[in-house]
Amino acid sequence: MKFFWFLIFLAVWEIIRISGNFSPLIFPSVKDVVASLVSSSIDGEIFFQLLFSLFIIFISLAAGTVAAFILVLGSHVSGILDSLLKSLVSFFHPLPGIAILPAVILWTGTGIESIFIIVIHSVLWPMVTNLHTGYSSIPENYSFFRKNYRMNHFQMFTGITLPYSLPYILAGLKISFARSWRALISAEMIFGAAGGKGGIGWYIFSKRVYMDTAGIYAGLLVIIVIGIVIEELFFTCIEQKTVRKWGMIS
Amino acid sequence: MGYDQLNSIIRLENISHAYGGNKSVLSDISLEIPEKSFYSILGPSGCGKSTLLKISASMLKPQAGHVYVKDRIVHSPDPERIIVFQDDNQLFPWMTVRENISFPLRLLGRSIIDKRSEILEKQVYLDGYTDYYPSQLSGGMRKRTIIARALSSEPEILLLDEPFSSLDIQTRITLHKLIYSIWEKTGITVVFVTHDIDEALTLSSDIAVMNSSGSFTSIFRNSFAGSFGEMSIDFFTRRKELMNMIESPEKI
Repeated sequence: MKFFWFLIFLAVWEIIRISGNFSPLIFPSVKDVVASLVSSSIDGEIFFQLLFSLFIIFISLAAGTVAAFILVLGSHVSGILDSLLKSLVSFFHPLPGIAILPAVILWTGTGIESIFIIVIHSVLWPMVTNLHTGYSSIPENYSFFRKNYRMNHFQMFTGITLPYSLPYILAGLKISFARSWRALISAEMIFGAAGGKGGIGWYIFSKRVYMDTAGIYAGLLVIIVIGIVIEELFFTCIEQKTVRKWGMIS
Repeated sequence: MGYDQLNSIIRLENISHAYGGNKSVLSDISLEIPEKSFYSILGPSGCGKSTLLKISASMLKPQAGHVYVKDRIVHSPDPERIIVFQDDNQLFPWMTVRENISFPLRLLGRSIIDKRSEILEKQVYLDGYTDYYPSQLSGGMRKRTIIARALSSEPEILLLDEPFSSLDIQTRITLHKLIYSIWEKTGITVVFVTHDIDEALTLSSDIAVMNSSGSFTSIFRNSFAGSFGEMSIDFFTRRKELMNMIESPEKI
């Protein structure tokens, strides 16, 4: 169905272009966009940029998730930590990643570190919020079970807490991915290439500099495709094999 | 009758408890539960019988009094006293029937896990459902899985808190027969909390009747245990007596 509407969209695009009311610099032909995509693919440029962006996201998602787990576990051990964490979340959760960029550039310069900081910032707070909700909703029955069999903290964490939190982890990852992907592309556009690796955001930005409109749209197309692949195929696939199969979400 | 010993396995001594400074739920309760008995604590809802069961499992620390298991004072829960509650969410949804049943065995580091789980699955008629997840099972099957899991580590005492009250009548009867036959065969001590007089009468070797103010009005050996479906005149007379005992006119 999505594919059908996509074809309709392409047709409308072509009609507008052929009507000749707009400059080809604004409405390049579908053929040019595809050609730009193909040539960027052949010389590997677009894949290279994409891999770089995804690599940053992946590392940050992993780091953010682990950090969120540590913070949430800590907040269940100490009341002071809990109150601190709740306050931190309410301070930083509403802050868009891109908004803290100028401050981050002041601290760390325009290197890859600042991109990591922005992306981890986008991952951490939604992840903490979700994990906190998951952790707090562990049924009382499980804690009776834990006491009955005298489970230690490690057994409890790996055997019950982690699988029980999986729906919350997945929901957190989805939100985190969406937020960090947007933050990353924005940051890349502002930073430009660090050592030739600017990511997909930089790819689009540099195409604008050279007025390569077809290249801009090619970059956008790639972002859309990545979004669909990750948000719909990747997460849906994991959900089907775990929480959906177990009846934990419907 | 499945037992003839008079040794008590659980002894509650002068237990008092109240939640959060409110009116006390239990005041100065003492009770001896004989080894290998099917011991029902029968009482109206809100009388404190579930609180007493949690205290017996050491899941709740009473404000006063002591719990003894085989004359040893106990303070914390242990795998010899497994407690099972009413709700279905005691199973782990991410584990299959087999994984749920064998989980306690793995936690306790037992060596024979699969064989034991297989025997338990047969015992509760779930041998065709080894790889099913709890969400794929009916309410009765989930209850059977919970029972099998509770039995897996071979505890000495099984504490059941109205385990069947959410089930339809047919499923309940099947499970009554199942738990009764397990009790007869294994010689486990069952402490069974219920508000259902028929359930108490058909299953228990002993019944302790609690009134709505949380004290025992009668404790007796029950002669109708295992009498599934045979409801004699005596049964109904007894039922009527118990009904009067647990009723609290001021609350109706």
